[in-house]
Amino acid sequence: MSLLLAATAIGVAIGGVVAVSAREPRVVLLGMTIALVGAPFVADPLPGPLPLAARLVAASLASYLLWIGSRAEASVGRGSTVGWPVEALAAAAGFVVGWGTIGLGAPALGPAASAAAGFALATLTVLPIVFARDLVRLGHGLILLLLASSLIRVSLGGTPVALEELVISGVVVGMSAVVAFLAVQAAELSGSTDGPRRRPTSAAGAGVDLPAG
Amino acid sequence: MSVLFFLVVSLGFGAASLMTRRYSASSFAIGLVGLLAAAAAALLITPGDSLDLADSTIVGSAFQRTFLALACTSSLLLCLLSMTGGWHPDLAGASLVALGAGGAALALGDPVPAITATIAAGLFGVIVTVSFPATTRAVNIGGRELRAVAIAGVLGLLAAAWVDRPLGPLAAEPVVLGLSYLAIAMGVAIRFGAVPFHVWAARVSDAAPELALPLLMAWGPAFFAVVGLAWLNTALVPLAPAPLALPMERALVVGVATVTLLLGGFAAWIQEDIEHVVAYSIVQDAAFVILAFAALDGASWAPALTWIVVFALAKSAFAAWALAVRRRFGTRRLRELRGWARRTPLLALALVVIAVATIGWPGVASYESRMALIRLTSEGPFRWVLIVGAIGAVIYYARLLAVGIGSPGAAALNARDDRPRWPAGVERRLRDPSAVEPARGPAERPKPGRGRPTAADAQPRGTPAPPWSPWLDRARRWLEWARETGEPLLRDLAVWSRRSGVTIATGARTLPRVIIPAIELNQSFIAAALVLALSLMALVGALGGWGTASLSAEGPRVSTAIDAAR
Repeated sequence: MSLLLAATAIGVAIGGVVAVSAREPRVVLLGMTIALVGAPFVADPLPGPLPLAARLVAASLASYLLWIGSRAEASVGRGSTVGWPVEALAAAAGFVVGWGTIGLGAPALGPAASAAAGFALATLTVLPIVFARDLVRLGHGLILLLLASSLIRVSLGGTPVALEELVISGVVVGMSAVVAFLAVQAAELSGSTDGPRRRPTSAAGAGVDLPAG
Repeated sequence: MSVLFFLVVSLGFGAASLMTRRYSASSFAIGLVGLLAAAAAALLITPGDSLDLADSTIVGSAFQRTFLALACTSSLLLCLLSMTGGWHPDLAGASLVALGAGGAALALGDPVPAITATIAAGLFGVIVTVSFPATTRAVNIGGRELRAVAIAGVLGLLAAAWVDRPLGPLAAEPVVLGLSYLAIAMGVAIRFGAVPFHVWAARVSDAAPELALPLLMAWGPAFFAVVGLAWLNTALVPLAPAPLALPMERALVVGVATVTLLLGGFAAWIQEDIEHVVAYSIVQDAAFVILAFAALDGASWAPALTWIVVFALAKSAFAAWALAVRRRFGTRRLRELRGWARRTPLLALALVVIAVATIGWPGVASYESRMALIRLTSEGPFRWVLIVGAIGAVIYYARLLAVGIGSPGAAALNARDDRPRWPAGVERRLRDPSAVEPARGPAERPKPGRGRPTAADAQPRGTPAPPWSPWLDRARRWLEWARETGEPLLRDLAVWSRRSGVTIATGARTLPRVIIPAIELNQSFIAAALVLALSLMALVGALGGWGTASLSAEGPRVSTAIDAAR
């Protein structure tokens, strides 16, 4: 276990914390980019040059697509409802749990760092996905969840083969494209990116979530 | 190599169609051509044809060929139907990308990337959900759909990643097997919108156009189900000998399937909106796919695949029927559709065929596959509950037909019937041949001037000459020269050429004037014919055609790439 690998895993987790906590779209995008670019490096051994290049190109493209979606949003987002310290602590807890449960009961073929980063990201995605009031935030949560599952898969089964890296790259780009599409559509329609659990803006209903569904 | 060709065609045309979506007509045309090409490419897939690609293998299979060819053809017919109404410019492109990703999922030998590819197959349906033009509500529902697709995929991905490695003593641990089994089964239930995960599916049926429902709720989830079932049969079933293993987990999955079967059918029965009837009927019939997971037995493989093919085809036809009815009568409310079947017997016939294909009868592939799944997952009186649920679908089909054969309401009376129509001019000539413009005699014909005609002779003043007029002039002068020459062969050739040219030119001028208005006038008839074609495709599948009967003979381990790779 190299120190560099652990540092990369911590960097990915920090990127996730920034992405789910920040309100300013540019800062959110910075966090997403750190997580997307860092995730393929949390593997031992590292993927081959071509699969790694594919993941990096996909990360860049995904970030650019998310940037397009963020540009459409005029106002700043709501950010985390519980604040960044709570998010950071939750991510740290997930990191420790992931590190400690490497292999999930059987010998692991990958590094503990990827399990730690995966569990940290998965913990961070719970709030954006379950209580999403913002479509862009929901999309970021889903992309981070996908990254988390790929990291946990690396920790369990080892470094993926090149074709699997290509497929993950494609899905990351596809999901980012769909999130950007939804964000642009929402912004064009109403200037709002309220998600599935909208909060009424009228004075009478202020602060009350609409029921799911 | 044949699989790669299909992937290149479908993903290439799909990407081109979606990237040109700003130019909606071009985008749609690219999508239509792409669907046609993808259907042809799917038919070229050779079973067992493998290709080493990026440290892995993609393999073709008979089921993959059948399923993809039917999916592409069905999507093509739905897109053609959308040209008669319910126009959605992104439908063709999104279908192509989804089918391409689904084709990749069926071809990949490793379950983890295969399940990852099924996420991609579901993603692009979101674009179609945000209907044209987009509304705030549709965008929010698109977000909900994206969440369901991603969570279901991640559940399957984690389940496969956990079990698909050397497990050592953990292989004998029922908790591991149970959690993996529940993850993949619940993932499939979420993707199909099974009760109690049906909220997103219900909202999608509100927001998405009718023609998108098959892609969103049948074909897309079907890829996930096939890959998940293949993985279950090859990875989990050998570790958990059926039927004794995992009783609690299997009971939970059977419970979800049963509730979905009964409540889905009930919801479809009480709905007033025919699009909602279609959506809940899809949810209800998806219960049998979930039952295939509940069996935890390799014997469920063949009936499940047979049912998935019939299910996807029948629901495509049902969604097409709903669109055709809405276009014809201008409403989706059932109480306003009284007498619809009297007005359009073709659509009534299509609905009967859809119902027969879905429900079937003893001895027919669709019926036997569902009964096989029920036998594998239930016994005693509970089996009768499932059988009643399976046959209960007849209630909402009967209700639709009963409303249709009732006394016609205002919508039915004002709607066009199925009779083919001619354009107004042609119809007048057919009724009254004397109305045809009399041929002018030689004396009344304008005399062509001798010598080289000028632009002023050919065209009214102020009208620019067409670009082909110099070529026409040359041809005319050559014909005159040839006719006046003494050589009989040249003279005959000139006369024959002139007559042929006049016939072709007359036909070329007349046919579009008849055909295009005829298509515009008969859009309702064409839509009904397309719906009937789709329903007949479903019926052929239900009767064991399209190779669905041979799946039973193939056995559970030869039909997908995952099995082939193992």
